[in-house]
Amino acid sequence: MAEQRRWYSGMLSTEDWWAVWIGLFFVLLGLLAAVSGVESTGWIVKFSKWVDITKSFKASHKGLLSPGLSLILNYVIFTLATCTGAKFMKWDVKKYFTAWTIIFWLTVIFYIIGQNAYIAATSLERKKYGIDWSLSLGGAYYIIALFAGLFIGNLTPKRFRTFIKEAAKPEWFIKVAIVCLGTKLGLKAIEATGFAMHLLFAGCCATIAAYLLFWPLAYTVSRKVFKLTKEWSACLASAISICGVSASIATGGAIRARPIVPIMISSLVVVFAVSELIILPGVLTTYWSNEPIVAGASLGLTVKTDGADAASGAILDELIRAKVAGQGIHWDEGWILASAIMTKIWIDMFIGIWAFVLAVVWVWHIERRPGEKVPKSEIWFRFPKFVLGYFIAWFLVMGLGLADIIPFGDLKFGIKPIEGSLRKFFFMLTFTSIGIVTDFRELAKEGLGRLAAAYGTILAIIIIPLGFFLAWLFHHGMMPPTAP
Amino acid sequence: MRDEDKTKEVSVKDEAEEPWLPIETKLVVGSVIAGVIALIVLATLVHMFLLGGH
Repeated sequence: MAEQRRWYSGMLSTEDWWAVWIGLFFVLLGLLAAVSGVESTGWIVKFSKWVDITKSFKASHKGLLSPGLSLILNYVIFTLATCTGAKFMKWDVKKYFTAWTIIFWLTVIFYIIGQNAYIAATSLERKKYGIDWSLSLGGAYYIIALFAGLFIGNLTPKRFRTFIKEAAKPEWFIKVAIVCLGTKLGLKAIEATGFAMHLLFAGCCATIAAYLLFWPLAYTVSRKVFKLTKEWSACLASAISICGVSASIATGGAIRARPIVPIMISSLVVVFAVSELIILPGVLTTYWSNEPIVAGASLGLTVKTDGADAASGAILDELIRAKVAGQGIHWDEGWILASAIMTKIWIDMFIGIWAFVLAVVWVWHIERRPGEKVPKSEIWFRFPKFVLGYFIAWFLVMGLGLADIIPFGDLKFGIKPIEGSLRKFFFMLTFTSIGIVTDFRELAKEGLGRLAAAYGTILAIIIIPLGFFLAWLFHHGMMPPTAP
Repeated sequence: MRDEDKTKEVSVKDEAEEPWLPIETKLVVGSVIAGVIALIVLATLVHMFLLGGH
């Protein structure tokens, strides 16, 4: 229990902390490049739209390495970084390495396919690529990776599925990407400090109102309508209201639920989040492209895994910008995604607080364990640590830029490959992995039908409508800065 | 709680219905009231100080 843990427990043994270490390692490489001019981030491979496949990827800094060498170096460095984490987390490194290698190269293939100009080029870009038609599916590479992952996770032989899951770690990959995303917000905040701060505070306010309303409503429906027990209802309500898998597990720990409870609910969270990831960006682009920040924030409030939220935010960002580009509006890339991440990150931060509240209620009132104390340190242990990495990256880059300690041009030179190419590649790894770990057969398990019905109903009648309303209430009228 | 159950694989449908306790009412009502107050206060502040600027 918490009494035996130190504040630094888990720093070398949990996925959450390893996302921080790996993410900040790349951020520091970026800052090193910015300060010294050394090409410490130029090797990161950048995928581009292509007609000629030999131009589909290259090193981020022009002329530094050949495309092939850049790609191989990426494989080597990412492999070393993630295998180090795997080793410290006591995973089976041999199995992880083999499965990772397959996932890495499959992801590269999906990325290249999805960037084909006939698939991805917007109507305005066709001339540049010498083509007379294209599907204008910006972000199609994410969907290709997702569906290919779903195929692997659901339709390949069981032995292969089990093996490949050794390295399919969507939550880990997305957390690394989110730490790197902090640098993007840092760079953007230098150019538009006011807007970034508005987004931060509006997201925080929307989240406070949202989780205080989501949880009790979801809990009541679970208990009263679906007749679930307190144990199932508390975990389900946390999963669907706060932050999916993490919240379900945190709540399970706080109320001492049987291990099977958060595990079964977590499988539902993943399946529903992937369904939302497929459906919501298209719907929001169709109906809410005039309120891009609202649309982004609504994803953060309604999609309940970090991976699926960031992934759907990335798709939404691409889709909405591609749509309005046709009307001559060019919003800067990344702000819609940032709004999706911002609300989600605030929700993540409340996991610890809510787990603490539930632990107190369960110990003192529901299970009445005389004399047992719930230490306040429980909040720290439940706190999602990758959020620290995100804010450190954000404020470090922003602070160094605003204080003019590092000139903006130099910061951009060093950080751009981290916040752009590297982050997007980890997003792609997330998409492939989400597909692989999403097992639709879970829904057929005994008893899960009732849970799924409860989850789906609460999502449809409470979380999505209320989440959309709150996103609108706290963000309407906010527009992303125009692209430079 | 129920240590003997911790490793037992149970499905939702095996669980007996549990009565609604007064503390659940307090938790739910308290959270909703806090949520509504937060909604009104924060929405007002955001509208006054943030959204007006966009």
